[in-house]
Amino acid sequence: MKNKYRTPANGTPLSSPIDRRAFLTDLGMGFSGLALKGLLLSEAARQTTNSAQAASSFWSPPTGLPHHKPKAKSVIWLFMRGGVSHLESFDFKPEINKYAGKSILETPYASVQSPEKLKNVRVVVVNDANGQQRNKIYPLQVGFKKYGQCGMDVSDWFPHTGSVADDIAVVRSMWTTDDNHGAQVQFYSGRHMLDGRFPTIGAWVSYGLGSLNDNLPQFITIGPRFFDKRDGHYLGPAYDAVPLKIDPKNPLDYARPEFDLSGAEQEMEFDLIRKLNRASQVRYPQDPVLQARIQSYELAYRMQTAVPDTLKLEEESEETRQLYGLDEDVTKSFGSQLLAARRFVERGVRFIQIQHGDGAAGAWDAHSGLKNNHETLSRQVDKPIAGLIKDLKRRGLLDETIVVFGTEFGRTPGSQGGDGRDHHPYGFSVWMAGGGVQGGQVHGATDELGFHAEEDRQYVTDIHATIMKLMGLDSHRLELPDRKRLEIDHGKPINAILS
Amino acid sequence: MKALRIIITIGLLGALSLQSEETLDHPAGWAFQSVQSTSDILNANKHAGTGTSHSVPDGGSLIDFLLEIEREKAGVSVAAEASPGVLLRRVYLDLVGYPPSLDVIQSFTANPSETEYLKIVDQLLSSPQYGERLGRRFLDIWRYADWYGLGEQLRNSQKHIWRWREYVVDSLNEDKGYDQMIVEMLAADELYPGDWEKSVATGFLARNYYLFNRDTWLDDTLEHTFKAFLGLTLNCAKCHDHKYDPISQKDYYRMRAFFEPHQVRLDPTPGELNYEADGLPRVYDAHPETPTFLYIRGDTKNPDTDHPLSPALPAVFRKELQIQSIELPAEIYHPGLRDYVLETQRNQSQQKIESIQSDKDKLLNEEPESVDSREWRLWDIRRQILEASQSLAEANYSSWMARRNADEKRLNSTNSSDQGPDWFARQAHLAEKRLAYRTADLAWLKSRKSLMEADVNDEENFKKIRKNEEDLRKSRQEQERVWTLALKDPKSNYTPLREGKKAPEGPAETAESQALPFPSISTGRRLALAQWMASKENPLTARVAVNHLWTRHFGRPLVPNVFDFGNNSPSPTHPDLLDALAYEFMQDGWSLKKLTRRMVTSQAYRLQSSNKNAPSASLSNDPENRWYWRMNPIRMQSQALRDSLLTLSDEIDWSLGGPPIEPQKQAESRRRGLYFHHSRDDLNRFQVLFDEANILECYRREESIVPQQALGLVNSRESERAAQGITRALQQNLGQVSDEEWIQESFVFLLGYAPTEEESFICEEQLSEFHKIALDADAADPVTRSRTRLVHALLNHNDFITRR
Repeated sequence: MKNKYRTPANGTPLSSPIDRRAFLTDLGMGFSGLALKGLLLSEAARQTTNSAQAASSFWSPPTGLPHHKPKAKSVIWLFMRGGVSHLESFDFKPEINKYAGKSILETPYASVQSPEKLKNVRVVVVNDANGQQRNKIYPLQVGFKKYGQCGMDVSDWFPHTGSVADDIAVVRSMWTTDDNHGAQVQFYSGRHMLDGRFPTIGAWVSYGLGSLNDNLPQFITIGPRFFDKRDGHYLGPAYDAVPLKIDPKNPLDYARPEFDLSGAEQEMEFDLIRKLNRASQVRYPQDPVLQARIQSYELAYRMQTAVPDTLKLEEESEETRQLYGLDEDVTKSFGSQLLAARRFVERGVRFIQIQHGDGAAGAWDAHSGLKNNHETLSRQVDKPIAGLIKDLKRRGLLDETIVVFGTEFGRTPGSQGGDGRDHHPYGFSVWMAGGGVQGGQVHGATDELGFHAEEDRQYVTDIHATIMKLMGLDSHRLELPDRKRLEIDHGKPINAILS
Repeated sequence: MKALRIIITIGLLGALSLQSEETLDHPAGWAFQSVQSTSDILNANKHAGTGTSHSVPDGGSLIDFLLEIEREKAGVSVAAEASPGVLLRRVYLDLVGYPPSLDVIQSFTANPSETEYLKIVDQLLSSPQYGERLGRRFLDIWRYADWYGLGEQLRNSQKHIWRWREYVVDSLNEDKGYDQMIVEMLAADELYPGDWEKSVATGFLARNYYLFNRDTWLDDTLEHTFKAFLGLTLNCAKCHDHKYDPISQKDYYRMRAFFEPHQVRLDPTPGELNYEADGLPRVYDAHPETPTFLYIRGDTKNPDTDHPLSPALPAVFRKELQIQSIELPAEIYHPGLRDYVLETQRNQSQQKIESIQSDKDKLLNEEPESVDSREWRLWDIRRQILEASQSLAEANYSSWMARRNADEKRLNSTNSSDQGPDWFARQAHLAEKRLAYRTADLAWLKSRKSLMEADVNDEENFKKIRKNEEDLRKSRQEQERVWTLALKDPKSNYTPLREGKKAPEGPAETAESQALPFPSISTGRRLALAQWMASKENPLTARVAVNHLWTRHFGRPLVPNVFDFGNNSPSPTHPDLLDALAYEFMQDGWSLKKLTRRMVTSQAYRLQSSNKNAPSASLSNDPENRWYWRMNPIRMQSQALRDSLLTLSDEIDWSLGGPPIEPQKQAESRRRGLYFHHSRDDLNRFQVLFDEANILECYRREESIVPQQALGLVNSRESERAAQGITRALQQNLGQVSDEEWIQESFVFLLGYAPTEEESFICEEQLSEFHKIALDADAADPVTRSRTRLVHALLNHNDFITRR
């Protein structure tokens, strides 16, 4: 590593301990970034001395190395925007059909609506049209079957996911506190939107871990997001996910010259920039920023090719493309995103978050016409998701890749407007697979109406903690000195679903 | 204007005794101690330094004098000064946010004397671009954000908040005291109760508006007011006593009480009464009586309603504030009474009436010949509609006027007049009834026209139209009856005039409640707080400001955490220097220009940023440059980068101020980045790559280095257009020159220094390669094309994006 960055001119190693410390002193707020991290931080942090007088060296940034032996290398984070009905996907509740049409108060489960049990919720919009108690029980709009050797109940809207039931662990006892779509922000960051904006789980992972591939961004986001389009927040914009489109011609902003320039000219210009920046080392010896800048241009140059190359889905076999549903209109869009995700994972990208469901609040927000809504949307995602799991597995990637299927909240057992369900933060389901998760199991349970998470209640940050653990990270050790996190922000790993 | 009556009240019932009960264990750290005077500092250092005099060294030499004492102790000596070209580029980027022109470079490098340098500094400080540049910095700290929400619904900040941005830039340009700015931003409405224009400064508070949650809104207000002005993390005491600083949880809510009464509204601006189109965002005290309760453990569902808290400072400051409530003139709490509003209403009504008149004139020339025809009848109904529209516009204006007059008489009842307030109220009543009749009349005529034009064969639709016409006719008759009754016996009830638009206090606030009159009294709480914050006895305010400005010019703060001067933060690295600068800043009337001038004219500011040929003792004794023996480089901020590209290519549009440029117009805009719409949802596509200011919190800009930045500078239209413009400008300036000369001048122009032999060689070689490619590709002008590539490469040079 060291020899790689010698100048031909004077032979001085460019990253001497002197300048590393110099720039570290000011790091609390100063300079951060992908290019720099792999290059300097890991070495620098190891060499930082405990100088009592150096006022700002009381804290050092992460080294990029895991804190303990990791099980997983990458995360594919699938997020269904708007709120998937847990009752019609992964949490089968026959009692709902039994009491269909009755008021909850007329059932033996009237106590689910006692104020004490509802008190966790923090309302953003008082008296909003949505996010209210819905009393009249609405029958299940879909049937369930048992799948896999484990015999997991999965609804008929997710038959393909059912076919990989032995690879996934469903958590049926999730809860959150926002009764509106701010819960999307909460699912990513662990904090209620009224508390402000905090780094998302993807930002923490890319902040904590060094890169496995210097040609690609380490943290990618695909698909629409809710109002919070950033991830890094107080960790800094360097930890925002890079938004990508599944379009090799235009995958990210400024990936190609926006003006007339030949490939030869561009290559030569990159070469000139590299030479000039290197020559400038004579004028500014031992300048870590200059080193990082040089590195960032090399990375950019390679990214220009590597990102579109990764998106060349036509390189995949017909069979693989079909596995993800690329041959059908209904699954093509989401399937392409998942296939691309697998290709990014193969190339060492750390965190890929994929959002499904357009619209301000998210497409899954079935306040009315739930049956038609969920039937249509599940058809778009079900086959590609199962394809992804199967494909990762047969390539031996599932062991080191965590797949998360999440949504911001579930939907009410009671009906809204006769044919829909309202937001439901008290109990809902997500699932995880791969990367050290033991498939074929169900963790936690809601009550008989699917109202409250009762057994093994898990807050959204428990998913984060599980990811951190599997990725070899200790979130406490990543904490910034002036940004004390609460215990609930860190969450607790769901050890029961780990192998 | 009426003389103001000041009501003095006792705002603090037993506040002192209350506070002494809960003095916390935490010590009052260095930041809570008074700022030492410069002469005390100099006396204490008498034997250590070179000087023994009590007199304060002039300007920048105060900085050098104090730093030199420390450097001597540390065995460190300064590096050489930066070359004139680098220094010139540095001071331009720092003070105005873009690099110097070729002419300025040539004349300064030919004669880089002290006098010339000072002249340039003063020129820059007096140019309007100085306010734009420093303004953007303060807008980072003060969380400037244009409004955002969902669709057209305002949820955060305020529409037209750019008027506050303008206030900040103008205040900096006129070098208004920083203390004065603080008082105005927190309480201009109370400081100048008779002057509506001044209240624009309170946009600082209006920016925190949040539709959905008053607690979040006030928490943000408290957190960022204290971080920005005092460097205190008051927010840590929201749920429990502060863990490190002498601030109790009760203190948090006592501070909240200062802001509890305030709300946000738009005042009308001259020439516009449509608040979507324009308005002046400001705060005002809406609820003087709302009590403040401590939330037990910060839980908003659990207020301690048994113990309402009064506004008071934490005990550590040993200061009891006198709060005086303030009576406002009628035209302040009733904007409809302002002369310019009257004039606007009159002009707009007149314009409307005239425009209808001209439509009418036109129509009268088009009268069909045959009076008996359907054509004529259609023409005639159009004529009647125009007549009625005109009458309605007139009625509208008279109603507005009558209500205004009645309000004025009611509120300023001391004015003697032939007619009592009651007479005016009856006139207003009558005018409103007339307006209602005119409105109904026009609606009916329009329905008649629809009926005449309707297709009789489409039976169902025709029925509907006929029914509508019948309903409207009846309604018109009813309004006519009511008006006639009023003519005989006008009552004195009427709808008071409402100008100004209150932002809803929450999604549940009704239109009626929003339309209630604004209170005629302001509590004076914010003014008392602001005047204390901005006073010389406050130990924090000047230090915090000095630290921000120092960071801006020296690349590294004197107090490492710029928003937290509390006990858990690292202490200042140079406490004497910090205090001397803070003390002199206050002595200089809190003049930011004088403080800036002091900094940029110091020797420390002029040092090279390179380690090259640095004194070996400095390198070994102070590798971190703790004693500022060399300059620290700074990455250009997002706006400065784009502004620089536009300035160098001579494309920049120097227009000042005005509403923000919307996202879809930004690609083609040549205005400075300061003027781009800047909100949660809209950040400029190019600028966002370079650590754009986070609207939620940005006490210091990040300086990240990520590959997307390289892609942005290599591949964007912005940088290519700049390269072409710069090439054009250089060609015009230099005429026919050799490649060698071209390379030389491009370096000086873009980086501030001449190329080394090695660099010249690299460039020459590459230029000929570019040239070859251009020839092979049959490019129209291979020389220009190849030189454009070189310029473009220099824009990607580390020393372009770096302020050295």
